[in-house]
Amino acid sequence: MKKVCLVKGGNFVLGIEARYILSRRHKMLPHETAGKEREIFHLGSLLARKHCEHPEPGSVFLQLHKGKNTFFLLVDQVIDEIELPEQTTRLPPPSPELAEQLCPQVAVCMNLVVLLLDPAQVIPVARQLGQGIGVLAPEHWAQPPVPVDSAARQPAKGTKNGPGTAVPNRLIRKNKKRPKSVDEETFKRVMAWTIAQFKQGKVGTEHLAADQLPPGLVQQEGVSDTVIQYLIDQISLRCQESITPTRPGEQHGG
Amino acid sequence: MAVKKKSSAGAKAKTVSVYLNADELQERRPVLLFTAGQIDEVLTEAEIQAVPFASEYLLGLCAWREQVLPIIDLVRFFGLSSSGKDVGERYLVVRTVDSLSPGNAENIHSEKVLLRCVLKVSDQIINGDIPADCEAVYPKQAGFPPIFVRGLFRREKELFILPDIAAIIHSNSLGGAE
Repeated sequence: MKKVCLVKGGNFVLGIEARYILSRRHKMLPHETAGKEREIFHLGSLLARKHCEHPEPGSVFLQLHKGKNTFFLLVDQVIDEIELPEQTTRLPPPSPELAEQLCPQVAVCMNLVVLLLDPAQVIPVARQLGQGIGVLAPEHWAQPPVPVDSAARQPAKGTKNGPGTAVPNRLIRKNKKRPKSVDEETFKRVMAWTIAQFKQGKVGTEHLAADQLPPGLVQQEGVSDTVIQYLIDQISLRCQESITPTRPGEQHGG
Repeated sequence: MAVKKKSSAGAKAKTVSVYLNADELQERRPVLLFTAGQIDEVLTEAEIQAVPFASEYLLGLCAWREQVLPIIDLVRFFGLSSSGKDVGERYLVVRTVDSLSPGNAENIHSEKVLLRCVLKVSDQIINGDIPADCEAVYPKQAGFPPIFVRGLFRREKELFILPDIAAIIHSNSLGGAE
């Protein structure tokens, strides 16, 4: 017996062998994952030979792998997981060639016919159809990168860090955009902590990271790590400048 | 669920007339003709699994006795018009011997292959001999592609069609019905 996921794409129900499914995701793909993917495929529009306008609510991203290909396929729904007998037959005539290519095998389970999708053929079939058919537009699958400004506006829930903690530090530090300012109390506290750390010889992001602040030090609501990190970086920079002698002819840009 | 065949001609019945849910053609109702042995079963309903990229005449696939069979709508296949009236429908499991398979064409001594398909038809299925007062019609004269029809006969109110089921099943490799 083989495990098969029954998935719905438009008006069609197909089976995908579970061994080809690396992961499932109900939400949009995170920015980092999305950045690696050139194309995401949409089963419903591929089978209907049309462009996808809006994915169905509750659609599921399946990461499929077969042979050299690993890719994401958006299906309308994962209906069920079933076990099928190993014995399958070829798709009978007069099935069209594209269907034979995409679903070369069929099986019968509980008197129902299950067409088995060959994941290795999704990309070739989409290429044959051309014109972007079956390819999902990026706005339907990629979470936009979290802008620092919007991160700063998000309220903290339970912890001082809030939702902004999900964004990796290296992404935050690359972002040179000036964040929303903090209140005076937070500024003073962060500055005092940063200077104290600096006096102990701690410099650089590995020693002066927002997530190293003592718990409870930042009490301002709605301020994210992104904002705090920007503040720490600026204070740290000033501290370093204060001990670096200015060479003749060099003007301070501050 | 199977439907018992009606018999109006007793044990001597050799042919089965199956009415299509189609509009009249040349002022006659289109009727399929089969030998009784060609029909394995008449189903009142079928669980249809749609096939992607299929022509509109291929309604999908269904499971019949653990076999996967294509379901074909001959009204669409032959390009007949249909008023779409809400009339009874049945699914006819028919068998034929494949003598047209491209794989067999080069080897005339190859074994014949038994093929089956399911035809969507009306619920008017009548056992009985083909009437003697029929007149043969050349398929093209009635707008039928000759390759998919073994014979065409007309009577006062009916146009009898002998479909070539093997050719219809292999219609993709034969260039389609158009």
